[in-house]
Amino acid sequence: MTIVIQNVSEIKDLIKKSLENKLYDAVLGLFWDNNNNTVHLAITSEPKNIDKLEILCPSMPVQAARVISNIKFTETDLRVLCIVKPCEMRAVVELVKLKQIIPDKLIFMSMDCGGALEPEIFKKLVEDGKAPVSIYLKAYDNFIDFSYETEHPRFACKICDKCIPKLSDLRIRSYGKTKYIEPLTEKGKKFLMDVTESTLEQINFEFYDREINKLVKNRVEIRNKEREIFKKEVSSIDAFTKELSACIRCHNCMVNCPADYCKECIFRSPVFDHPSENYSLWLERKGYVRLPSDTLLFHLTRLNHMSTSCVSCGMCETSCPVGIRLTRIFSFIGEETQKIFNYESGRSFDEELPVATFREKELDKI
Amino acid sequence: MDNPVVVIGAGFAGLACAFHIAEGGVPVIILEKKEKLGGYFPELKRQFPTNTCGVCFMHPEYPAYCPYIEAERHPNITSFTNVNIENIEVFDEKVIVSFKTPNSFKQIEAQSVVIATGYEPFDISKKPELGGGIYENVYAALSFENFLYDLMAEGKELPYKKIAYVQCVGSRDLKVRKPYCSSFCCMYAIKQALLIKDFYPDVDVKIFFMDIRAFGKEYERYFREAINKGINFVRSAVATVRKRPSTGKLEVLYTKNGNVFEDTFDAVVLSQGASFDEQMVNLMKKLNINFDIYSSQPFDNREIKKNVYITGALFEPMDIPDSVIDGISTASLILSRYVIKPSIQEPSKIKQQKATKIGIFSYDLDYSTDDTLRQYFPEAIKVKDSSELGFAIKEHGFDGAIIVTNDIRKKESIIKSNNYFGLHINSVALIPSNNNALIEEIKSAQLRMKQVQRVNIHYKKLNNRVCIVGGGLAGLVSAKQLSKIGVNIVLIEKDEQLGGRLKDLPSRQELVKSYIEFVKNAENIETFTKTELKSVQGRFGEYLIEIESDEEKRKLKVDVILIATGAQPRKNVYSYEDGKKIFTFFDFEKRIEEIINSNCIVFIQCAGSRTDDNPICYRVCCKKAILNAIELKRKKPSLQIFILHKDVRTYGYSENIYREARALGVHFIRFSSEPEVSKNNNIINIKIIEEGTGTLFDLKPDYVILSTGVNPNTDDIKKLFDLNTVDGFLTPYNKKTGILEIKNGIYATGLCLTPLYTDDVIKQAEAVSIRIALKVLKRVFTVRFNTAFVNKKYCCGCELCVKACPVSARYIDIDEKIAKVDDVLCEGCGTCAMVCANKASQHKFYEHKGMLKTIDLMLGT
Amino acid sequence: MSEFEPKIIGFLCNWCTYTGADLAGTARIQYPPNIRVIRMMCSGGVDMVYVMKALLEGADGVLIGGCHPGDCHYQSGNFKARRRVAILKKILQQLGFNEDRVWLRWISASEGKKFANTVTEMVEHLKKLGPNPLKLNGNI
Repeated sequence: MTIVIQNVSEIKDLIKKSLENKLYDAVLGLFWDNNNNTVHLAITSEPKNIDKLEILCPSMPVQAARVISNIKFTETDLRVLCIVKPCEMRAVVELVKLKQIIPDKLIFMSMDCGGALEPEIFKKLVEDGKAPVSIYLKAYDNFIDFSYETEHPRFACKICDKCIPKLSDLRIRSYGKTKYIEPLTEKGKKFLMDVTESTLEQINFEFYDREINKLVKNRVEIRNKEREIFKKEVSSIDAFTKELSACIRCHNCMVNCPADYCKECIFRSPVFDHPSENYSLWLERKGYVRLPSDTLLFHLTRLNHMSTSCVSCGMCETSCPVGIRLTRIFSFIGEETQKIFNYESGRSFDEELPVATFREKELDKI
Repeated sequence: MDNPVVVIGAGFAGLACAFHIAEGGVPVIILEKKEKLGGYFPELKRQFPTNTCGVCFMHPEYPAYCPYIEAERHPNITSFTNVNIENIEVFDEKVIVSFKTPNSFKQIEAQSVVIATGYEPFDISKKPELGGGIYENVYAALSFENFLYDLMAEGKELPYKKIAYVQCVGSRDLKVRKPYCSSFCCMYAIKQALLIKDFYPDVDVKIFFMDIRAFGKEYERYFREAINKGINFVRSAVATVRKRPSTGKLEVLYTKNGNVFEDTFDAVVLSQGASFDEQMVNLMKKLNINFDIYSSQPFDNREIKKNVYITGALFEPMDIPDSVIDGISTASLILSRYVIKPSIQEPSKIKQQKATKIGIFSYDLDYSTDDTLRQYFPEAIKVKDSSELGFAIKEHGFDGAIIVTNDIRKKESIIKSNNYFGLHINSVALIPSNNNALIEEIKSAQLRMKQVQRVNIHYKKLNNRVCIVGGGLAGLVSAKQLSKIGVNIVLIEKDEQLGGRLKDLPSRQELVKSYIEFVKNAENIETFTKTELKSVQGRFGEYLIEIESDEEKRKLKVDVILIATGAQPRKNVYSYEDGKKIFTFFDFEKRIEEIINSNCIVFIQCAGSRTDDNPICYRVCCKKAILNAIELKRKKPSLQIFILHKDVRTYGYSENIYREARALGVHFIRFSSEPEVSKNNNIINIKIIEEGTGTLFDLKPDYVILSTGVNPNTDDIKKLFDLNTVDGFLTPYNKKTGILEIKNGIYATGLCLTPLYTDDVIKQAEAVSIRIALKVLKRVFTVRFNTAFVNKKYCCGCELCVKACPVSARYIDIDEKIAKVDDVLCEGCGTCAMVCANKASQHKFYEHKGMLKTIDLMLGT
Repeated sequence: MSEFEPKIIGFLCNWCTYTGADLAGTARIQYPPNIRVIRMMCSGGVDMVYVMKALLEGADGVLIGGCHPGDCHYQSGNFKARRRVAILKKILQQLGFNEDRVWLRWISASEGKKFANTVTEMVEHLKKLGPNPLKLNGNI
């Protein structure tokens, strides 16, 4: 039960028309700014702005899930169509479980993602006239993995093996010259039936699935390779502290991470506002204190609190100003902690968060 | 009523009884023969059926420490150890107890005496043929258990690879004059075997038994777990145990189905039964009480003389859960003589939010510790006792106190009973003096006390009203007990009449009628018949229930809900059950006149139970069927009676009726594969293969009585309260000693909880009523010192704390969309503070800033 | 050369383990003085931030003591602690920090001997592992 699309602009027309017909009240997605310098995340209620919407866009300047959880959309009757990447969708699933997003009035449209570029790279390519979006769309057309075609791949996208959305309401099958919008939920199906006059067709996706599985398999291989490298490199506490030696405690990683949903982080609260007598005690004990204090504790605490919900979106590394390779650390360690409980973040709405439940008989060897 | 109650024996039953009487405001004096309180508690570190410990749940207020610690610190309990009872003299209104301790001789004038002396383990040297007392590696079960715990604690290997358990040593044995069944040996042998399998999986365990008596709540499942884990069970009679000098191994000679077998083991454990101890026998003589252990009920009544009660394993050998309920029900009988006065302590009002002037006290310390303390804290004040402490606090105008002392738990209790000397509960800290980080602890306490935000403590006023759902025997008994103690009751019954199932049984009608009479005439019991419970909302102390009958709908506010919905006899388990010639046990009594005019009767036990789909034992059927069979035989000795069974579970003194039945000529046939029952033209034919011998019996009975058990009425209740059930019976808060509580404020009793005899139902209902009464009559509930609180600024409503709270004290405020704490329900565990990522949820006195500083202090330099 | 004496921070649950430790004290069962005890109400209230802070500030080992599974005085606190400790240990292991420095042990109030044995075992174990590599490292 799918809609067949011959051109990406058809999707935009569809969205514009449905906004005009008040099927929903607003659209949230990546829009070009006024001077077409770069894309940013925005929400609009005016159909004319849809021309500036970019649906298959190799850029993720912010994590949409974090933005949606900040806004919450609960006090108004605003119905919003959100166009999100698969990792953002998985973050949405986690945040729904944490009661930070109420999905009742939201419709999620996601796509088979070929990857993204870091925001500054995207902006530079646009400035140099290299039209990253067209390169991206061309790669899609030819079933080529964009993440490996560009000169500056985003690390998180290179190793992402979950680039196919499973829980959004709508899925854009973006590879190949002919594109499809497939509904994955009842809400999505209803949306499609309301939005288009042409009938929905039954499509055989055998070829598509076969080709896309090749791409995913490739990603899995790269991921396994990177995991090996990570385990060799960061396998001692010295190596870990070396990696964090450049940390300037800007807290960008925490601010941009969708799984860090706290209103006010404990590291910014009075708990870690140490009085000077603590410093004298530390100087007496260690003779040397890196300032600001508790850098390693900050990262370890983040690992403890959110590694079971990490969706490997890589925003932490994107936002780190000193280039700490955070994706590696959080994604691979997150994988391991989730494995203990046979949990996968973002896999299902019904799977209970590991930190919210327990079994009476488990973990005997602790 | 100021005379104390004397409890003789500080085991499970004795302590359970003592706590409940003491909580009710009556002083209790405990007399214990041994050096320490607790009976076998310190030795039985793991108990069946969970293989963990759980005795602290017997205390009416929890969380609580171990019972022997709680007994030492309760303000209403005084205890004497190393006691030798000289005499008990019973007068009209009092009882005088005279006893000797190593230092003195005392006489106490008591209002009642409770004798809970329990039992002594059978001396295995009385069975030399089993190697008892002769060979080193033939163990008595209790000493083997201690040996096992020591090995487990030290992580050492068990030096034996093949162990045998011999059951019924000193029980069911006429030769050593112990004719009864000790009730718990089967279960503890399984427990020890399971512990061995858990810790030492390579060890082979074989249990030699006659019947496995796993009759309690979920015991059958425990038994099956043992079989699944690879423990071997051999039904046999062990004749001798001999040691082979050349190998040092033990040879066990046993008979099975008429043949003799031999097996070799590294160690043999004799499952010793219960014996009476000398002191107890002498006591009974002094009181002129005669009891015959060969009869089916040696003591008719728990009240053996006026104001003298016996309880626990002394009354009949019983396991820990039953002993605790027995002890509590005896407490209930004693306390229901008068209305309990509620105990309210008005907490003091505070003037400032945070403590500013904190004093440091050295309370009852020896000189050397005091000196060390004074080196770092020269301002510390030395006090000898609680009155000096109170005086010093007032004189200096302190609004916080850090008290360094020994015996923390006892001092805690003293300070609490002095109402914290007028200080706020968050501003009193007790620090044990035997601490290797004493100075750091004091510094940490100072810091944390200064940070705690104190709020004026509020109360929760209770309504003093309990709703009992179900007007059967359990409901009626609890209604009567609660009403006598002074609690107001709302009794709801679905049927038109009160009395439940038992009102239709001729032998029980008198009993039920007497309770119905009381309930009808009591002023503080409101009865609603033909009424059902429609909805339940709220929490403990503020339940809002909706009850509905054909005529009206009502909404009521109650504190506590007691579920006593009972059970129905299981019918139509087998297709051949026709209700005429083949019927269930429940109809036996009414049809006895009809049945007696026949030639052959067959009782089929475990009908549709103890199977894979229904792994439960209904507990009462074995004794009931045998009693019925004896009744028939007495009336018509020529009647042929067969009892077809899997195991015969006549525990305690009912073993004596099993023997009597056999002597009267009742045939017992054991089966493991289901008997084939068929009916042709009104002739019933039963084919059964006897287990072991393989003999095929072809019976043609006139009537067949099936012991099918009961179906608890829990379907509606489950949905209303969102409760769990196992095999249809409700699952309680704690499976050992807390089986009466289901959730906070919801209790259960009777057959909806577990299958029981009528007498035991009455005991259980009495026990649950005192538990409820002690909570409800407190009238007010004050908060604990270490409850949780929420910092509104930081909370984002993720609900992790709500999911983490074990007593549902956290909820989300719908308007503000943040989590909030119900101060009165909060028990102060701190789990919500652990789960909360940014510490919006904090634990009073364990706030994060203070704890991090504490860790720093502890690590020193 | 003086032998290294490991420093252990113990977070003990008030009802079971702390009482057990007290029992060991009153029954004169000796255990090494290397452990500094912090009394918590429940093992479920021990925040992993405390454990990490202790390790980063130089504790050679951290012992978390609670009631046996099924006996928690607050019903399920120890189950939650168990999950959290599992996550922390996995993280430490992935980062190359010996996760065997964090012990989660179930010790009931009557097991004073077991408490003493556990502390002795832990001291021996930590002596073999050596001092905490982050002990005097201010660079973290």
